[in-house]
Amino acid sequence: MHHLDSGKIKQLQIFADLLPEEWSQVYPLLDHIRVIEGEQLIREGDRARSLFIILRGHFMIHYRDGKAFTLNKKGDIIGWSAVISPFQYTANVTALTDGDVLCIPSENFVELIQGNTALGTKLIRKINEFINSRPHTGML
Amino acid sequence: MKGVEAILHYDGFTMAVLGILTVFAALLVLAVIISQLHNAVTLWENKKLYLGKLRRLFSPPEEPEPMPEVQYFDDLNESARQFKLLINNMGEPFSLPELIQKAETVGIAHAHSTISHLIVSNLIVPDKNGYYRLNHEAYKRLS
Amino acid sequence: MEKFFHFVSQTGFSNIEVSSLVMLVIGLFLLYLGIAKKYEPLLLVPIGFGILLVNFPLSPLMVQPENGQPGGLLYYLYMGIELGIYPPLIFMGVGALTDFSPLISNPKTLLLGAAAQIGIFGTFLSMLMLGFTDLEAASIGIIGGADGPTAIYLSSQMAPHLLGAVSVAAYSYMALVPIIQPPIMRLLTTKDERRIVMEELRETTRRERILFPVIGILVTGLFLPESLPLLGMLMLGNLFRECGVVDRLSKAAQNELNNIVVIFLGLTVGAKCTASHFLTFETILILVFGLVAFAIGTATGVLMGKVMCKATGGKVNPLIGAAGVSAVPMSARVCQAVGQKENPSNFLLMFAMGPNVGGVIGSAIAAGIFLAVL
Repeated sequence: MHHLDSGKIKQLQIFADLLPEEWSQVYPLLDHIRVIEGEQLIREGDRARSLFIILRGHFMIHYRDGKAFTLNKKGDIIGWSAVISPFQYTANVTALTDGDVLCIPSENFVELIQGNTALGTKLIRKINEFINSRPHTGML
Repeated sequence: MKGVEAILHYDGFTMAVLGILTVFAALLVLAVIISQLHNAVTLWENKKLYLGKLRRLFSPPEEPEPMPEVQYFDDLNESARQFKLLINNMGEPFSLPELIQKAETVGIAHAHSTISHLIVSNLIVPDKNGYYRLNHEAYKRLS
Repeated sequence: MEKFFHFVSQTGFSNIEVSSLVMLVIGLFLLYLGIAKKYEPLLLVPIGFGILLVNFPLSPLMVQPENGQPGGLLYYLYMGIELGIYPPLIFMGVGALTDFSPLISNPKTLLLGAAAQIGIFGTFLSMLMLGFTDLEAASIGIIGGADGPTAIYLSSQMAPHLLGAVSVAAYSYMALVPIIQPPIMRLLTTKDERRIVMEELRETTRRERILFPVIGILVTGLFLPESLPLLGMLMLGNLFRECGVVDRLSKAAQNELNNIVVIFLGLTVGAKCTASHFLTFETILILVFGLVAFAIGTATGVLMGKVMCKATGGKVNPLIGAAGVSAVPMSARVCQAVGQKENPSNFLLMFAMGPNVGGVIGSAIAAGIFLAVL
């Protein structure tokens, strides 16, 4: 996280409503990953180990039946199966361009939201809002 | 020996005052330390965050490395022309991953980013069923 | 024939005295309290039986070794008390059994535990006035802490001849907490104060619960090294419980070890209650003033609770101050019962556990002060 501003990341929609003490619990869990064009970030059927949040780049979410949709807005969430049982990715995600994503390990995230009800409720609500706004082409 | 005389003989008052004060002092100190334990544990668990803040406080502010924008290197017109041929071949609506696969097969460079360029330029649009179509009107305007 | 008469002269019937009979009755009475009334049965049953065992005429159980002959069973088991071994081991079990979270999340309740120890020192002064020595007065005063192991530990070191009376008094009053405390609590608080609902306690993290016994022993050990045998074992037991990596040791401390030590402690405390030691005017004074110490401790705890209530703008229910007498968890349950009488939806139990544990620490510190100074 050395070159990413905590303040700027706090402004992402998923974190926007967090109180300072809640943010101080979440921030240390975040990691930053650079991806290159064509890189497969998530494979369908794999164990969902991480949740990703787009900072930059264009990503294609695609399924075995050929259906797909794309995400390129800062703050878009990829891989929410990482926080929902049975913790298995249900789609593939490929980077259409070079990009940057935030990565939150599933284990840490689940432990956090289970240990702090208020914080967990806020985050899950944000994730649900995002899921409901996406095309209903299946879980991710 | 009985009565107050006995208390004075054994320094009872001193003992009682000393005893009460010591019990209070020890438990007060313990209470103060324990009341801050929660904060100390939070500080330890988030030491990265706080060390970072401390570093920023004492060192000149670093300009955060600006995140480069997504850059497209292709000629949009040429890309659109090439992909239109592929799309005509596949038929509409088409599967986006299949289009990328076909593009790579025929040797189109940077197939992924080119498709991204076409999508953000509204030349390829989703059909709400998970498939995509060529935006013919936009294509006409481009040519 | 001679042998027959000799045998008869060696029976209990030939050697019975009135004082022995009285003690046997007392032993049976304690058994009745423990079994039928269920007053602190874990201690009163072995104590009661210990009293029976040593008060039979010519009982060999507490006989000292002599002329190459070994001593009695209880003589050797009593070494655990004489050498100050059993009470600290009981404290280890207490630490392993007790959840310190209510105290950690509301540490100011430690001061309620401190206030409840004032009864110890008030009784100490009263006992001096009545002609007891300083060591005896300390052993009697500590009853006010309502902490059986602490009372046994201190009196075994300071006034072993009073051990029987002090222990019986301490454990009897611990068992009678539901009868002794409520009238004092109601007398010193208003209806509105008793109705106060306290804010929910925050959750404590595992790290905090592990650090508490370590910090606890560092602070109290530096203040008063004499309290280390008791508090050190208390904190060790709690560390076993909270660290999560020595589950077997924690279970052993809570169960096997604790139960074995309780048996030995109870039996040998009862064994100190011989007629010559117990049937004295001092015993009556100990029983009376032990009760006074207990009552004063309850009162000062509740009064401190009222001070805290005012200081926090009504956030603290003064009833929980009564739990500063360290009869764990009996006095916390009494606070809950008295509070619920006024407000059925008020659950004070967890809040009262804070001062309850604070009282355990406070009474051990008070004992340490006596050991250090006297």
